[in-house]
Amino acid sequence: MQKAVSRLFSQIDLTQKAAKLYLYILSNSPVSETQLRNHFHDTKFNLYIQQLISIPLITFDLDKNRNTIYYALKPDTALKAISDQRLWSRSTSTDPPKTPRNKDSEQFVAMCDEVGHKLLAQYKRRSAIGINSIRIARNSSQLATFLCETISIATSEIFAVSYPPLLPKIALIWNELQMKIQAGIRYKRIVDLWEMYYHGYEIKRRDVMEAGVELCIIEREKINSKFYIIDDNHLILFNPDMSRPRGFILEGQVIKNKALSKKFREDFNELFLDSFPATIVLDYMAFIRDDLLKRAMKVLDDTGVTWLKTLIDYGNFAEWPELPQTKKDIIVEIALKNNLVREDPDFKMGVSPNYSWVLDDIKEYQKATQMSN
Amino acid sequence: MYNLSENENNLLKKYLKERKEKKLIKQADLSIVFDLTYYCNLQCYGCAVNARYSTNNPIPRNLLESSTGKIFLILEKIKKYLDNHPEYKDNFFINFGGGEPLLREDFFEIIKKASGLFGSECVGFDTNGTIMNSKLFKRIASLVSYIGISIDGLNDYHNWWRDPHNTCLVDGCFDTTISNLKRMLGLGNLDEKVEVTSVVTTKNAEQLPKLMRLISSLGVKKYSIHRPMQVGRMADKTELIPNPDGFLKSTVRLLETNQDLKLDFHIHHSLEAIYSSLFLGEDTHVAGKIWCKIGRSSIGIDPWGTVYFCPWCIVEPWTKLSPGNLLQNGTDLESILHSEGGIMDLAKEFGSPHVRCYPCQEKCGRGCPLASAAAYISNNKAIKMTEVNEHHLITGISAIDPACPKYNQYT
Repeated sequence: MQKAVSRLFSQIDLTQKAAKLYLYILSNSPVSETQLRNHFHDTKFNLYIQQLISIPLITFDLDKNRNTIYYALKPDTALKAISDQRLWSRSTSTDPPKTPRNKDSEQFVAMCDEVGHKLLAQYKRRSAIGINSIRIARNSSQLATFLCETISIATSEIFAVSYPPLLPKIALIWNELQMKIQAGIRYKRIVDLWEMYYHGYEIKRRDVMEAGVELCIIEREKINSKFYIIDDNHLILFNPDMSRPRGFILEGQVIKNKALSKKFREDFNELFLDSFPATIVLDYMAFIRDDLLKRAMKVLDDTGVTWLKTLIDYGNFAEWPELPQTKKDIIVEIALKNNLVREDPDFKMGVSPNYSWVLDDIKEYQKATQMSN
Repeated sequence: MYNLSENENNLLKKYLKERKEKKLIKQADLSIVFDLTYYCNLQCYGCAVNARYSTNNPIPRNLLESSTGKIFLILEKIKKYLDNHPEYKDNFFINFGGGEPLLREDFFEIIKKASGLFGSECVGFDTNGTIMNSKLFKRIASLVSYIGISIDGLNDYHNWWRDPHNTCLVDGCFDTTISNLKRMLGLGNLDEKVEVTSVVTTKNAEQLPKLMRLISSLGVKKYSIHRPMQVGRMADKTELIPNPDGFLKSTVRLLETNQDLKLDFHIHHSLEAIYSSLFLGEDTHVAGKIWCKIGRSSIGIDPWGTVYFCPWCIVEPWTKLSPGNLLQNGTDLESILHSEGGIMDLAKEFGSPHVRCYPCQEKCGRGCPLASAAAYISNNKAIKMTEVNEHHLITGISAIDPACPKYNQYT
């Protein structure tokens, strides 16, 4: 197995020494920094730790005496996230998340899968969840790993209320959620409209129609808090204010507490009653999508139309096909000029589909559809 | 950070060491601040409980306090809890506050009841010192071990702080309190029990050494400095909160003044915790305590029996985090304090080293979680006070205490 692990790690640019450090943490989690340093004498210790955290294969926390402790994420989930991430970022197809398109990526996925399952044998599941009932996340990546870990212990229900910006390491979180939904755990999520077009029509359709997410939409101004509740026992609270006033540093926190979870559950229920099922929004999105694509066909060539379709369907996860930059610039210019897209700094391409809608439009659309039926 | 001279440094260290030794012997393991009323004859500028004063539009007293019977019931429930927890025997303290507790007509009965239940050594109260009834104080003397009298500065400042809009019935509040203080000390059996307390602000820090000398000349033996908490009417008075240097300088000036006065003097325990870490290198954190992790668990109870995990949390928006009410049927202090998964469980974890003050690496008992959160909420212009929810409260608790000399380094 050592060979397979080394081969995989070299593909994700991890040195032998970093891999060795990871395997030690994997089988000894949680490991204090002192313990690790005693075991692992290397001047690049900090660098390796940072690499393992940023991938992420491990995460960190403080124990009750304020000492840093490291522990491994569940290896199968962590490695699946790595392979998903690679497929998405390297895909040039219009359907990035579904299937690997070439032999290399197929091999990589298979390797991640195989190694992930083998590493489970060494994985010692003893995270800080069991140590502290309040865990403070210092940055968004750490919060993402805390969230993922907490989701992994869900046994009955997961509730979420979210608004932008979204956490990084989305593949890691989504994989964990998917596994839970497949295991029969209910996942109810309330978001604002922004997330619908940021993730894209196809991804949201898949979430709702295939994966089984109970998704609801509400106006952004009605959402006061961004949080997850796991089994009415764990609460994951995000920093409520991104402006970060003086004296305030944390990114979010995981709190194990029934009473507080109950209070936030009440908030969730109130929002839920006021929200709108995503299925109706998806219908409306499909309607707008068709309209945008019809208009695109009149002004863009096939490549341009395909690109726009990708942008609508996969939102910020969409990738450009292999094209010269000048050609990309022309497509964007035409699309902007014809109001097919609009400038949007939240999107890595700098533009997003031109949805000029509010929830009231969707409600009107729903009424009209019901009447015509 | 304000650079202490060698003399100042030694003085502070000596004080902290003495306090540590004293606290190890004397500090109550569980203390309760029980507010008997939110009625008050003054209108203090920074009242932490929004106590009401009324002449023109009298507010019915039952909206500001509960009946004698209910107060007794609450006291009995506390007693029952203590009976089941022998670890607190001789290690418990209940302090009555308000509003102005002496405005309750049944005040003596309440003190008598509490003294009977807990013993006089475990009972005390705070007053603004404007109400003096020699007969009452003579009777009370044997029933309590502590009487806190708040005087926040010299004449002008104190009068402004107590009655900023000149609407109160008490004319010349400072003179009245000083005169009452003299009479109280003249009774002969209260001088060991009376402690004058001041809240230090940006406006009175300079005059506190003079006040210290004045009260000493009157025969006061105990003096303490409290910090302003940004709750209640103080929530939006950010300009009055000393900065870290202000707190430190003020402490040192008072310690200097006390060198010849030799009063039994102390500063707020949260400042002691921070300074102990920075100047003595000693972590005063004590695991297992509720909220304040520096030697004791201190909880608040309002006149209607609602319990709060900190005596400063009894006003909106903090009431959102109340763990329960003692007057509710079937509820007792045991279930409120120890129900697994309740808010008190959370409060026990709040002050722990792993939760707060990232990225500071000091091994520190931390300052005051409430002051941290209250400052976070008050200073954050994006949050409207009327919209503060549990989320904001919980988030602010792990922020850095704004009184910490290292605050500016990390923010």
